[in-house]
Amino acid sequence: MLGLGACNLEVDMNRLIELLFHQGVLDEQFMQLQHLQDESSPNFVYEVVTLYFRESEKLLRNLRALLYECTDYKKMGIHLNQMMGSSSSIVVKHVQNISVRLYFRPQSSNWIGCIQSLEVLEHEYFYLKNKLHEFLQIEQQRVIAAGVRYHPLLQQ
Amino acid sequence: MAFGAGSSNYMKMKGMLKEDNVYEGNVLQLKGILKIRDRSFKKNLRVLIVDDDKVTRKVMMAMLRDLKVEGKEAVNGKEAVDFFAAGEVFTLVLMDMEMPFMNGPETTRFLRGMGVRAKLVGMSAHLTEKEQKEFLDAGGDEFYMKPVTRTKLVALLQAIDEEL
Repeated sequence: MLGLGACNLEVDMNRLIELLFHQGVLDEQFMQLQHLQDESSPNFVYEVVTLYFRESEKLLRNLRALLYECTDYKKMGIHLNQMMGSSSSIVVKHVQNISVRLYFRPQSSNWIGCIQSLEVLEHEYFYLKNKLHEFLQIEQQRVIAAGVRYHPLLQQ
Repeated sequence: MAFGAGSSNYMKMKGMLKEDNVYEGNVLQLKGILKIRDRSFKKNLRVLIVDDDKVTRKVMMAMLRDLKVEGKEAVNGKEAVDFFAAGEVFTLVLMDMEMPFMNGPETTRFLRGMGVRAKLVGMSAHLTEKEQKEFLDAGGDEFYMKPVTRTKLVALLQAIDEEL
């Protein structure tokens, strides 16, 4: 049944969010994003999360290049500050906290430590990306099951 | 998990949040709590978001729209200065500290030097005392850790609304 499918998917979605809450990966700021989604911005969460992915991957690539090519800690600080800021906006606590640790690491001038921290950051980021992708897919299926005729996500 | 003062008090009242701010409950209950009742403001407030991070700007602009408050965004301090120089008026400026071209304290010093009287609030994802002091010494009014949640934003706007 159409309605029952949508309900089951909503339960799955809430279970996933609860898991991410309990793991300390997300917190109430993510719920605030969902609150900002309405008829005038029906795709808001999808847009913000997608933008976060795009910007974060650009920053991670730049960080890796800076560490391996020129070890420009000042530029790294700027990129990390952006990563911390955007992670805090949708709140991905693990990514934010690891970014903070990597931000302060160059002050002890430990290049190996920086590389290790960057790898941890990348690992946490990709774990988060997988989970948020899962969330967006369940959300898309829920919308279809609820019988919405037009949904911007389906047009892509 | 950190909550704003309003959410924390509400949740403690509802018996869902222990004294050490550990959340007990499920996501559906949390979703209900976060539907804070609509706020309206007496005065026409105008807010400028200054941040080089696109995600932060998008989320904060959406929060302002949700609160029916006019907002504008600047990608760095220089753009913020250009808006004021062009005669634009804002009641509140929410400004990131570390930005290219002109950082938060530099932008603040410049705006105060221009005679800007808007409330200047600094934001940072990693708070250091040095950064905070530098911003406040430059003429900033308050300093918040990111994320600036809806609760904090409403409290800030209400305080400005009452002052005007």
